[in-house]
Amino acid sequence: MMPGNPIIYFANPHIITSPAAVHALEQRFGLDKSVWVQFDLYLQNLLSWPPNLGVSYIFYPTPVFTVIMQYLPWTLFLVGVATVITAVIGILVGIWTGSRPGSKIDTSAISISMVLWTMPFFWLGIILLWIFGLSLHMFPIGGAASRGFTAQSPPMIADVPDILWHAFLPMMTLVIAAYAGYSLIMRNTMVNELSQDYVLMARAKGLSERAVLFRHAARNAMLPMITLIGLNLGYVVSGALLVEIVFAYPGVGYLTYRAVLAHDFPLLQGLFFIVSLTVVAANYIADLAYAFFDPRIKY
Amino acid sequence: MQEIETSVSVDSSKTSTNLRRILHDRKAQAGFGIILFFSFVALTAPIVSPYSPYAFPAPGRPYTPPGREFLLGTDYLGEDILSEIIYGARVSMLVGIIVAILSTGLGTLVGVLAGYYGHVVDEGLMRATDIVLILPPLPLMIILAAYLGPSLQTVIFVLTITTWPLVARVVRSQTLSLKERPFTDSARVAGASDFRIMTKLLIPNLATIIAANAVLMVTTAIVGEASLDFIGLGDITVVSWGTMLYWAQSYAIFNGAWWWVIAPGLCIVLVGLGFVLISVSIERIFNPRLRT
Amino acid sequence: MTATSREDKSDDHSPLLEARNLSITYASTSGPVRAVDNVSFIVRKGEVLGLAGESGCGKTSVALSLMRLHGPKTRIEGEILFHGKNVLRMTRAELQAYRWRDVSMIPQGSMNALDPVMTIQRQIVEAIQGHTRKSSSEAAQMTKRLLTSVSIAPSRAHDYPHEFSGGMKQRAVIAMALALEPQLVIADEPTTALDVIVQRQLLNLLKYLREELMISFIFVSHDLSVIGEIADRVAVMYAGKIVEIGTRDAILNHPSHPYTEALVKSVPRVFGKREELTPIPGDPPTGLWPTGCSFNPRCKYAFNLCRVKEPQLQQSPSGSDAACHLIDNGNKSLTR
Repeated sequence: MMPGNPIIYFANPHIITSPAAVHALEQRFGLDKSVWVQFDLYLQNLLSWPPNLGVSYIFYPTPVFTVIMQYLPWTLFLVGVATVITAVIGILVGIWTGSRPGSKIDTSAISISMVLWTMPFFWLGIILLWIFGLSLHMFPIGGAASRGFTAQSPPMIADVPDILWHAFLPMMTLVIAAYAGYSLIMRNTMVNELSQDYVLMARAKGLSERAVLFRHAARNAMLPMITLIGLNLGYVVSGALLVEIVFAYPGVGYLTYRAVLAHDFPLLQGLFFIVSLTVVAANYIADLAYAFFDPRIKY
Repeated sequence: MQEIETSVSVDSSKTSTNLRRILHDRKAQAGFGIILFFSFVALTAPIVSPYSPYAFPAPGRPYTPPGREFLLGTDYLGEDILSEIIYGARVSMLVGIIVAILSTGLGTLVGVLAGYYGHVVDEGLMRATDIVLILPPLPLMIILAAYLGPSLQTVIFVLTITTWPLVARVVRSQTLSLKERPFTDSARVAGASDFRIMTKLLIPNLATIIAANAVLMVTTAIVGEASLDFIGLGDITVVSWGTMLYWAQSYAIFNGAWWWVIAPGLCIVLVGLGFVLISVSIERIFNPRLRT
Repeated sequence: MTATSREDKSDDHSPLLEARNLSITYASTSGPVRAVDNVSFIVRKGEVLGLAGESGCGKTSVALSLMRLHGPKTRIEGEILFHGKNVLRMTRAELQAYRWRDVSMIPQGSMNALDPVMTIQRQIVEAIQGHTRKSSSEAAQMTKRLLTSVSIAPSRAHDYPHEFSGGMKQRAVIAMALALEPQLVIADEPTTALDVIVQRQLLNLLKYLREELMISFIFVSHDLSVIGEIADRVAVMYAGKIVEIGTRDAILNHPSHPYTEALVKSVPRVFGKREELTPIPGDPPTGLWPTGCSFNPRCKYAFNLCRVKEPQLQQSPSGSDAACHLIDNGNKSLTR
């Protein structure tokens, strides 16, 4: 599938020297068969459950899928909660500034958004980590929790405050860095909606400005936001990957980092597959949600 | 043909008034100022920079805070950070601009072809675009870069691959709406070839969208390059703002060298902001509806 | 303290609504634009006032100002008196009460006047509950009755606007406009986007409302023939000013202003002898207005005075008020 024989990377002279061993490994990983057979095997593996994505080099002999599944929940937690918070704040600010375009509030909000948008996720993370983690000792500097979770002692309710404490800084980083996109688009959508005829009607009906804004304009403006949340997920996930590295947060981002360093190709491939699948699935859900909320669409 | 070309909606006098408006717009001026400053610094690096960032032996003691001798302090080897920033500007900005040009070029080509020809061409091109669009950018970049090996070309290639689809989509939808306008039909009726229509009619009208997007793309590319470097997928032997942060991530924090972290990041933000300001200004002035 | 007192309806001759020296100036990117200049008119109870003119003459601006629907950047001078109370000086609370309850509107392009993500029922109920203390079920009942009165089946009440045809949307908006039984309804180009058959139905409906419920209308349209169908009095606007205002008969049959005459002549007649249609040459002014009478560049009777001095409204031989210098000469030059 991918160019190059991965065994070459794995079988560097420091680990394995005998050609026989290399050959054995090739057999083990199915690399001695023809490309077509390999591809067929690959697909079969992918489509089975649990998907057989190979075995990780780092965590040998644990299968890639198992490894990823241990790390994935943390990322989902981080990204999920951060997306919700960012969306809510972005929408509210968007409504607020969209209803008074050109005002001081609006221009300052736009300026702030512009600066935040250009800020690399990981840089912001390092700064926050430094200030709040190291200097002020307000938050932990890494990890997801103070004690390790295993299958025998999974996270419990009592662990929740600790988990939140650990997650605070990474989540804050994500929220601040991803906020700009949502608020700007919501603002523009609001400005658009507020110039529509039905808003004029709502005002003519003698409704309070608040009712006009929230019950009519904002409800219409929210629809494209749903799509945006779906579209932005790829971007937020990418940011989360970087943030996890900074905070050594045990999610798939951190795992990816380790995989890159160790040239663990099965793991990398598997990660790419799972992460992409997740994002695609989330996008699909966003599409469904849009169809559900917009009465003009049949689903 | 003459009459058709003059009746096209690209009004040259309006364009020059708009261009002048951009130059007078305060936001754009700030943006241009920033970009010109950094470009100047990058271009005159050997002259402006106090030391070479690769100097061996290193000019200062490691982890020296900013002071009179080293304006931005030194890194873990004792190299002058200001010099690193100056030379880094070359790499970061160059990568950013190259990616923006390649990506915008490819995206525009695909977008115009898809929008203009429609049907099968459109379907096919959009499938390709969608495949890339739907995948989260960083994981895609990582997996490609991991196989291609860390180098500057890899970074440029990978960044271009992940950014062209968005341009293609935007250009395609604009092309579709332009296609509906009467002037395209009249040009076709008058016998203009497809190529001529696309180059003389569509592209000038698309110019503002393309320009605004391209400028924005530079920012995305610079941040993208920094991200890839940070993970270790860029060429870490080259000094760029991204690689500076790569090294800083490991060494700066526990040695209290905050200047090493702040400087490159701040430059990324400033340059990024410069391009964003220009892009926003282009959009606002050429699209009167957005003027508040 | 209500904005108006319903007991005042007893006097049929006191004006319901009066606009006095109304001027509206918009702030645009190229400087202030005067859209309406010193307009005055009166609407009485049960009367239909037609507001005619080409697009851009300011009639919609006037209509919007009557309910104070312009944005904050628009400057409105003059007075708009509803039963003697100045709408332009009302407090927020008074204004919200006045809107829809005393005066309501059927805006231009009713297609877009309905919120696309809300059912028709909810939108009408919203209007009702916004002004009265009716419960949801009472409001729902009222809505169903209203819809029936405009020939929309009550079962369609829970549909969304996009499920209605253009004519149905128009009627739904009318139903909504009548929900609180206002004294005056402003109809802005209500027939423009409709085909002739639906137009006819609409006009009949409006006539019925006027006769049965004594609702006054301000009927804004560029189509003089439609105005002729329903209006009692007509005001003709050009370039932001009223150039002639009078009874329907005077305007349509004995126009005193050259513009009015041209408008009347540009309407083809179905019966009677076939005349050649005479369109009005030129375009209405935008931005820079000509000196003197604003119509002079397109007026076939224009003479020197017209280019120099702006004519004021004065009574003409046919009984209407017209702003034209020809009246000083007894209007003998106007062909009929």
